[in-house]
Amino acid sequence: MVLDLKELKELMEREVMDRMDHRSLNHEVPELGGQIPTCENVAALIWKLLAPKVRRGKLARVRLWESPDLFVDCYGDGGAL
Amino acid sequence: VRLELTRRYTFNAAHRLHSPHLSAAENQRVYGKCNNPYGHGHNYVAEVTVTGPLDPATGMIAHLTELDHFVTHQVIEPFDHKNLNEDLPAFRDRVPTTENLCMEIFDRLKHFPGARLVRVRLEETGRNSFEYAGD
Repeated sequence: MVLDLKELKELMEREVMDRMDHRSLNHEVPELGGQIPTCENVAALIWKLLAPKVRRGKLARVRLWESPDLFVDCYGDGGAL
Repeated sequence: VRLELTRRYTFNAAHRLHSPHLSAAENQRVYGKCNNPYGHGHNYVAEVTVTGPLDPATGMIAHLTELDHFVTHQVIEPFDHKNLNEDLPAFRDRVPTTENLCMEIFDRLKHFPGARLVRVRLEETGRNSFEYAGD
């Protein structure tokens, strides 16, 4: 395996779901730091939360679907957040 | 980080795959059912991917309404419910395969003023798609 899926699932639960699921992104996610919760900003935040925590292998991409006809991909290259 | 935004658009159109460079028999052999004389239709899905710096004021790469308007004007209106062979000058001399259609869509969108076009991915059916990212 590249990465134990169970490990990834727990990481996602801890870093992303616990913070964002059923929350108001505007009011209840302090990590957004007052940024407008666009799909771009939320995808970049998810990258920022996950990338340092992936110890086996490395995070290649975060794809955030906002709706069935819109998604944002976030990659680690291209400079700091 | 680097961000890419992808929007999916749908349109349907008819085409016939028939090359003037091939004989009737060769066309039939190469294109099979897709060579039937009166054409056939597809429900195409075009995925349009753009990138650019995040505007700190809006938190966006591109204004979706601007992108939607541009794609609608450049691609959806001229292609939707059309016969690609008969209605599009681009396919007078080119076979309207999904490869060629994908490149044509890219060329029509590459001057989008609101962000840089990265690639176009075109689904002809749920089972096949093509991607073009320029040269």
